[in-house]
Amino acid sequence: MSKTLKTILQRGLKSSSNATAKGKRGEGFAALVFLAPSFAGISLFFLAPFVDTVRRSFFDALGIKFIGLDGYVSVLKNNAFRLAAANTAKFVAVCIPALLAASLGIALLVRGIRPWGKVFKTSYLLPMAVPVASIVLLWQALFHKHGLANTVLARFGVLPVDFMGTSAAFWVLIFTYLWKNTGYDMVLWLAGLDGISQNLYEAAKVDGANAWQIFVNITMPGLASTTGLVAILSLLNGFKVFREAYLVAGSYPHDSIYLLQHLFNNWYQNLDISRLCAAAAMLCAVLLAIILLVLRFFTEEV
Amino acid sequence: MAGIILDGITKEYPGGVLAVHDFSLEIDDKEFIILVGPSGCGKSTILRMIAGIEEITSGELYIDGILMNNVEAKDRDIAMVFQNYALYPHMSVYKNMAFALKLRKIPKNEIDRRVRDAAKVLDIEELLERKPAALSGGQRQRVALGRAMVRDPAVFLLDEPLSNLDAKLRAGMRAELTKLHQSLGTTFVYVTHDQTEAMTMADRIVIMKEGMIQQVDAPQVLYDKPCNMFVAGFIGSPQMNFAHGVLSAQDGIMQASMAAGKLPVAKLGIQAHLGKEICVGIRPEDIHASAAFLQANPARVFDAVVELSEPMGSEIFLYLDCNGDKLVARIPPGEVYRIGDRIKIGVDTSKIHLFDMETEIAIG
Ligand SMILES: Nc1ncnc2c1ncn2[C@@H]1O[C@H](COP(=O)(O)OP(=O)(O)O)[C@@H](O)[C@H]1O
Ligand SMILES: [Mg+2]
Repeated sequence: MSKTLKTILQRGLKSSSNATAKGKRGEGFAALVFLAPSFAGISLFFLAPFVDTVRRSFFDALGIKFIGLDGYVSVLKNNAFRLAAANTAKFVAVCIPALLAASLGIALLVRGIRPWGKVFKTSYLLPMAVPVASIVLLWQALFHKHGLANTVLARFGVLPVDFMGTSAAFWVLIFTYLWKNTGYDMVLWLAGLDGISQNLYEAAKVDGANAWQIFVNITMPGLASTTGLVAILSLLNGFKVFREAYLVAGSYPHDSIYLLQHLFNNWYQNLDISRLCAAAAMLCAVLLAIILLVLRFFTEEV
Repeated sequence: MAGIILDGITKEYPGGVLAVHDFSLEIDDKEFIILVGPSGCGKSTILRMIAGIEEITSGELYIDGILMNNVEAKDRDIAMVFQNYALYPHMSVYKNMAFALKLRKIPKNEIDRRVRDAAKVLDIEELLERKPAALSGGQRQRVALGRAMVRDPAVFLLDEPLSNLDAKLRAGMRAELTKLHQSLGTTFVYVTHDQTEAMTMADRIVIMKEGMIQQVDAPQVLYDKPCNMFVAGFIGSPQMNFAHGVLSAQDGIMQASMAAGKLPVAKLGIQAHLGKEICVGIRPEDIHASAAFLQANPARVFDAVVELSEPMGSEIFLYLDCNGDKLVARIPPGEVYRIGDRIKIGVDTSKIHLFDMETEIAIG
């Protein structure tokens, strides 16, 4: 795993790490010294608590009595967990492909219109800079029963939609995620596109390829490792959409957007620690498996 | 199989760089034509315009009699070998070579036959399953050639294909490219900044400078009758010697007076330059130091001081100072020369070149 991870990091950071990647042996020690502080931080704030979480998933709420896999069984039998896990899986399954496609499409467009590219780049990045709280206000104004979106729909004779109170909420959430992350992913794609030599496109043109064939045969293979990176980052960012969901709809939103994070939040408030830890450990295992698969699949050596 | 006509072609890049200016040339069917000139003179730009990956600012391009200005690259039936080869990194050698054929929906067994035939000719059969990253420079170069060959294109474009190879490999590849051209019977348009490549392979050479054609001729004609000082200096190694002089007449004989001495020049049509400043061009092999030559031509003998002697084995390059005129001579081996030696040299005046000092154009 460390090898594939290394390759992807090296590729992802190609531009910035060119000098250091070629480092000599003596630089290994220096690297360790520089890495030590952030590694200590990560250990203290992430690794240690995580290890404790896994330990607690096998103990009772007070963390004293060993209960084995009881916590896991109880989580898997729990209806709320099943709903939340299904929703989260569905959310990820819909939003990641949609995001990858949308952001890649925009990246290609932005590259196509060179002189205006910069303006577009900036405007697509803006949503990242808007604080969640402001977004939430905007969303409430937009998607409230008597909000802006419904006003516009009414103009076209469409009956008002209760966006946050029906399964439409799921799509509002998807939209939020896309709106927020497209810019970031677009920048990643642009970096990946820069890594493909202009000569390859020209060679393909001379070989007789049309625009679509060039995309399939040159652009896509050239973006393989970028795709892995973007997919993983998008997956992890997908879990952040909870902030918006929570602030717009509270602890118990419409069933269609009841996500794992809602559940975790509620269990936490109820001090249901062993179930919480068991569920967290499972989520973590699933995520790790997905990440490894993605890495394996997209970093096949050239 | 096709001739190419470039008619008054000009290329201006965004930002106002005039890369090619009023370039007109007729390339015959099956000709091996080489564009040569210093780096940045617009050679690649011309090739790219013929290939259709660079737009033509003005002028007309015909391939096989058909106007090509607005025909897309993919529809031009042209194959190109790029300077850095531009092999598709994620495809095996086989797939690299088969790519263009696959796009043309050629049957699988036909593709296979063509790829294997080309691989055989280029001696890369064992490499077919490798990825480009696992190949040496010379191997990549062959694959790039193979990728162009399998297509059996109307025109073959090659942009400095040998410049990334080491000297020995390059010499070998020159001979192979000549053979390849003969066996394929296709029009070759080849770009290089190396005059040796141009001299050894071309049917005709196009010498360029700053986006403009200087001279188009067969290699030997170019060598014997350069039209200006740029061409004279570019073709030939070591370079032609240039010495500053004045054209005068004595007893009805025209003379070029240089710092080194006077040389009788018997050329037609130079009267108009009488009394004017000129530049005398002498090829290194037209300077002689043998006793026989000096005795036979006593009127054409200069005194010279040896500044450096480079024995090459088969010949010696002598760097000489003739009263301020610096000359390089290429003479047969035998004698040993030391720095500071004072010697006598003779010039074969039947082979000298004269140029107008101002316009640098050949006279006589
Ligand atoms: N894409 C481009 N944009 C602007 N100027 C260019 C571009 N490509 C080449 N040039 C300029 O055009 C001139 C000719 O370039 P090129 O045809 O590549 O020369 P050569 O192949 O003879 O070395 C050079 O001055 C170069 O800087
Ligand atoms: Mg070039």
